[in-house]
Amino acid sequence: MTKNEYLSIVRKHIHFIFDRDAINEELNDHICSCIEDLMADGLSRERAEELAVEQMGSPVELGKMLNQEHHPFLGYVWVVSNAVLVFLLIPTITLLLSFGHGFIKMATPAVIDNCVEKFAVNYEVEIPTHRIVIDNLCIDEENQYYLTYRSWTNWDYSRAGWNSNGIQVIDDYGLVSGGAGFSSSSFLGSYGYTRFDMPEDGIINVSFRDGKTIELDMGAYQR
Amino acid sequence: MAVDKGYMSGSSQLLVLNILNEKPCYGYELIKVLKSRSNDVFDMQEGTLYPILHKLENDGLVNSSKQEISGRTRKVYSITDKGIKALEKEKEQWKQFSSAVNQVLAFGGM
Repeated sequence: MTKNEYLSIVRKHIHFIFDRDAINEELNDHICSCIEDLMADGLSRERAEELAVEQMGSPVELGKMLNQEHHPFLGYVWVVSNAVLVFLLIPTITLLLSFGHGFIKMATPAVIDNCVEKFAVNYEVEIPTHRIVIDNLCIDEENQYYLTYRSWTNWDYSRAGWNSNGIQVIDDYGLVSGGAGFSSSSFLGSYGYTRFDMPEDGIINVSFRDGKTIELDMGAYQR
Repeated sequence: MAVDKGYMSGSSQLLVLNILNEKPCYGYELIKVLKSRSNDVFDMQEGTLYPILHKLENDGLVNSSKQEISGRTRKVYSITDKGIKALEKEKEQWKQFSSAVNQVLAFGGM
């Protein structure tokens, strides 16, 4: 019997496939070492291999004995439990990181770069899905107006999750005033700012996710 | 003279742990030490050493590391603290057992 024939018979009896290669490697090293020693004693390669394999004993017996030490049941429980753990850990860590990040970000009002003047608005609105706080009105170097806000998703809102729940300022024609702003969302809600064009009368319409609109008099802050 | 398998299986764990207590060994090396120290009396089927080693490893009495030797992976075993304690206990048991056997045989009239 050749070394490879011997090893393949042993392999067949190891039911726990994850240990097969390691066992194979170990027995292979043993037989190869033995062949090397026998050849050093003057035997031919073929004779040395034959004898080395013979000295190992029955491959079927060895395979069965090794299989008993490499319990398929406990082995599979180990593999499966590891996989389940990794499977559970990834979403848990993602969720915790997301919550942590959300808490930190939502603790303070959003910041506008190049803000020259800042006025506290502190206007709070409840809509069915969110509680929204308009924190500040900011004016930047280019005389652009911004409202910064934070919007907390209500826990009983069944579709709570990552959703765009910011605010918009609507002009007299019902169009979004001032163009794009910025928002960042998490499980907790979102925070950000919206840019708007200040109307002559200083009264702006702030529209919320559910369609609700409120009027705010910003005339005092007009430049 | 080769001894009966039954004698070997009862004491194999003791013999293996005793050799590993001196120095870490790989399987083939262990076989060679066993043979030479017993003047070839312990001429076992070499493969049977591995289930013994794997059991010792499962029981935490030895641990193993891997080495790359001329393109092959070699598994080298070393005894653990738990293994050293087990060895001391087994040696003691063996001494008691062998002296008891000797005492009984002394009355056999040979």
